[in-house]
Amino acid sequence: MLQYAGRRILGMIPLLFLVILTIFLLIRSVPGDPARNLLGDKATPQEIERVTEELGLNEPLIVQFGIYFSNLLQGDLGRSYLKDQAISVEIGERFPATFELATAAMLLATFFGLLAGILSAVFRGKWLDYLSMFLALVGVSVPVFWLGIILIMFLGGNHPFPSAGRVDWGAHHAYEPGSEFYILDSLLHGDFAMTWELLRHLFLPAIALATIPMAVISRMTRSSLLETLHQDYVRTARAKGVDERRVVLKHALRPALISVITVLGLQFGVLLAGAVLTETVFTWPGLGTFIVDAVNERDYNAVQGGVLVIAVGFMVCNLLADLSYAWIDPRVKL
Amino acid sequence: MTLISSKSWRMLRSNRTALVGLCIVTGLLLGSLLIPLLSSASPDSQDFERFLSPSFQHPFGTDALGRDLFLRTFAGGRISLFVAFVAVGFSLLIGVPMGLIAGYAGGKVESLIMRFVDLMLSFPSILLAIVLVTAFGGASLQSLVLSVGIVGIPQFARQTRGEVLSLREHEYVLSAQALGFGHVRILLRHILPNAIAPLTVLSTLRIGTAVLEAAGLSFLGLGVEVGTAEWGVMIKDAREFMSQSPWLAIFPGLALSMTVLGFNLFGDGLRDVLDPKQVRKG
Repeated sequence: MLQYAGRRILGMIPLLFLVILTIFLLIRSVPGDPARNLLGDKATPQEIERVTEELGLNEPLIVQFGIYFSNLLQGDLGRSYLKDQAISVEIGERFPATFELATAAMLLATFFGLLAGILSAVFRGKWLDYLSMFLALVGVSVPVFWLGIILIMFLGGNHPFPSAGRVDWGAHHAYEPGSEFYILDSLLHGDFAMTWELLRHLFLPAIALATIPMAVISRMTRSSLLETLHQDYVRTARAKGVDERRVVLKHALRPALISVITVLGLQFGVLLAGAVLTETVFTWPGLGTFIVDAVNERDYNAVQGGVLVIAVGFMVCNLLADLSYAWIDPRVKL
Repeated sequence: MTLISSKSWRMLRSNRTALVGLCIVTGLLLGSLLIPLLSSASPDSQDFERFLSPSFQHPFGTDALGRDLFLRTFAGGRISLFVAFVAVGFSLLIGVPMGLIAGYAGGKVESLIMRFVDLMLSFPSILLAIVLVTAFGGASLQSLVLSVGIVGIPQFARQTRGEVLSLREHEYVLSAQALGFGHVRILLRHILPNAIAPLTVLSTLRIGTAVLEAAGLSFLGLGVEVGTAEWGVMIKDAREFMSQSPWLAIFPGLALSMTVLGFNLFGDGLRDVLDPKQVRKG
């Protein structure tokens, strides 16, 4: 297992390098002079020349990439020219917001997805099955950003659920936040009123973001549970007179979960990126809004940094999904 | 049509999922093509009172500039469907030959092509689309179509390669090779026709996703121009008037959801009919 994991992690390195190179080249291929894009149309030639030199844009492309890459290895994602600060600092502030949102959405999606999938499989061909599979289909068809707006219309405003931002600092100030992981932080400080306040803010965006993975998980659970329910050993268990609940939850569900767990890993990666739309609707100060704002402000260094962080997160999730699959199911040792 | 034989057609008609999907898709296509044509007003004309509630004259109400929302919603379908069809056509045009070559040639060529596919799949699709739109010089119809099209390539390349890998071992292909037919002829005449069914299913499902991606990009301000009658843009503009005129967001979103739902239903049904063995993709 360790060997397999090691091989997979090593195998990721060239791909990671290509991802970094691709993002770099795509951002550099933005039409127009980067310095002029940054400064706007009114910039004087002298200003443009100064910025070009400052940003190292007068060097050949390969030298630029060399400098960028060696900085990257030291954890330096470059500077946001507009905000005049290190991009890694802002990403460090923004990432926890996206992580909290994606985790909450994942928890919701897993719970309700499993529930719907199990019920569907057990009541196959009954109305409950049709209902939950129809809902799953609607879940993948409804655009997340529209669902977010509809949720705000019906449940938003300040009561009961706020529709913008992570927290209202003015309302509450029991302690100085020690980290950007607000929920964890409030729990560590034992400030449960604050936790509730944070969860209230998290509720609507998490629901909107959860719909697609919920649909995927419920379909996956249903199909793999249906498969194991037809296995010989399940029939044997039934023939022995094992209680039906036990048959489903113990004998059939456990092996069925193997493929579901893999899907969880993949979906978490998708969520990190899917947050782009949800965050925009709920003005959530995460990586998604960071990237969209940076694109609109033509702050291309920031775009590059934000996209790279999410792409790496996505790759890591995919890798973990693969590894968990090999770990849980010894038959797939490669 | 050779693709859907009379037997498949009968199965398709008896498949309720596919039929409902087909009806929704056809209805939306006809509606978005005909309704703007038949109406005397233009979807962009600002002739009416602003923020009218839905009524008999204006079934979906009017927007902040006094434009008829019913017309705009159907006119929006034209753009979304146009973008989706052209983008999926583009993905097919690039992805299928990639998959054919990779699957048939094998060896270094295959691993090179599949590395490239892996590379594209290491980006979440919406993120890749955002970077591509940026690289193509920002929001415009062309960059929208190209970006959504490029994002779809790896799926088609993978699916086609998979089909080729299983088809090329078949006896009729081996005998074609033994007869000395050229590679191109074998690929196009003997292998590709047998891969068309799964590719049709994938294209149908992909059109739904492409509609979603295009609307999402427009919603972020990275798609078609501001003020265009397009669902993503309309929903984006409606946010401002959410409490005052909720229908401004509701109707374009419903149309968008119905379109995607229609293609998903139709695609699922088509799969049941055309290749029952195939496993669902995640």
